[in-house]
Amino acid sequence: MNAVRPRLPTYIVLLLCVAPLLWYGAVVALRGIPRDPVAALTSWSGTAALILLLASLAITPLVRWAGLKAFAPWRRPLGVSAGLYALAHTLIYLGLDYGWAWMFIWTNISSKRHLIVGTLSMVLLVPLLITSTRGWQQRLGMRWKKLHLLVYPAAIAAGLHFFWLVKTDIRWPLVSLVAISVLFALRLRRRARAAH
Amino acid sequence: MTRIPSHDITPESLFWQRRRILGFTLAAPVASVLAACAGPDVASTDASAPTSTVASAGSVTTTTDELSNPLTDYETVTGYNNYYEFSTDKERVKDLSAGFSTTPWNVVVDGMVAKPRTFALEDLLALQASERIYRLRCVEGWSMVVPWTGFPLAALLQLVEPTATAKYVRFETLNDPVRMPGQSEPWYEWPYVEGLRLDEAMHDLTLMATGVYGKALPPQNGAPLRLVVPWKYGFKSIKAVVRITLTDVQPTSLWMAASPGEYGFFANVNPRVDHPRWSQADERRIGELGRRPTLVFNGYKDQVASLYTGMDLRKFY
Repeated sequence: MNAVRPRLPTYIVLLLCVAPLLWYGAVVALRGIPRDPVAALTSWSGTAALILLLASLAITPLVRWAGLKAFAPWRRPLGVSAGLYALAHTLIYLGLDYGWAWMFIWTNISSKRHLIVGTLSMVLLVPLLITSTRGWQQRLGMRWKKLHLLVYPAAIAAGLHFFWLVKTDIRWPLVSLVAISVLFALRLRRRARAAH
Repeated sequence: MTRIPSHDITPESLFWQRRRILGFTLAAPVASVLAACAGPDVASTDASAPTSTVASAGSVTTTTDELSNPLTDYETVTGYNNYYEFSTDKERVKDLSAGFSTTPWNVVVDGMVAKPRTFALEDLLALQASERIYRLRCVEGWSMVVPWTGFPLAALLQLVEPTATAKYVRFETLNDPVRMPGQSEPWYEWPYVEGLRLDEAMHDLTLMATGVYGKALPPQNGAPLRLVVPWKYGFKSIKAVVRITLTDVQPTSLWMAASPGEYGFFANVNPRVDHPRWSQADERRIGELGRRPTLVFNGYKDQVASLYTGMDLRKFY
């Protein structure tokens, strides 16, 4: 496995980051504009954010356990795009769906657990998005790493958001929650080992 | 909040109706041409249809409901359907149900009735049909305004004469996983079952719809016969009905069985009683941005509130 060349063309990861846009563009081209575009945009952006977040978290074990070091540079673009899709998801909800009607938004969010954890996830992701540049990484030094461990609670909150949202068919929410838990457990175990 | 421009909601049928009128009046005085151009009101007058009766297939007599909400356009009404018998994806139901055959179709009406009977669809289509513009509020938080055609359920029930012991009406959808592939999904106990209290069923607003936009009901909207109870969440309005049973026990609906904490028997539209997973205070009218406040009993409070006098609507949700 270590035979993999240390560099992969950058365009592959960039392609992955815009894949959701291409995918949904193709869906619209083939099936037309959705009857409920707001609901479709909400679900698309949320799905894209969750998948890319999982993908970015999967890079660490790929690099550390499978020795696929060439994937290391993928982590940041995947994470940043996940954060941007999450931000789009939030803005679609607040602006397009609710038209910035804060009273409706407040009653809705405050009373629903899936919206509370969704909000929590977004709140955790915002500082990570802001500090995702190399400049901020250098400025924060060792604290940057600690700060960016927040991506795990953010991912768990995002998975719960999905889980509590669906009606009955919980297959995909369960898959994502299990995946996040495994990735988090691997990371915790490594930290525990490092501490010994 | 963006409103649908009126030219977008002109139903196809009305458009053709106008064309027809224009055609007929080609050689007639200019005045009638102008009248035809003046809009839907004139057009419907021209079709000499009283507002309560269906003039002809493919026509609607008005373009708004009684609260001046514009009709949701035909393409959306027939292209965005919650119908798990075909798909959980509302936008795919139309395609997946396209070949669904509704002939022959029988409806068994039995239970606590003096004259149990199996109706052929034709018998029911012979009942006096009328046009009803109803708001449809889905429990998921979206809504539409739909011009149904059909007959009051009461008209059907009067034919079978419910006995004095009958308290509830239980409805059942066709059970045929071959024709309705979604019924192979293990998540729910098929067939779809819904129920009403007898007084709700006899209420004049309670409709058995056989058409939409003046056309025969397409499969995705519940062909050939579906219930429409406009003051309740949409899932109460069961589609493709094959059996109606009068009973003295409260029916357990598919949704009550699947998720008793979330779906009650009454399911009246109520902005003050939230669904456990989301607020019911507001709704998005399909085709609009932003939200509208949800109305008590979906705006039919004056007509139906008396059915629930003295009931705790939080408890009986």
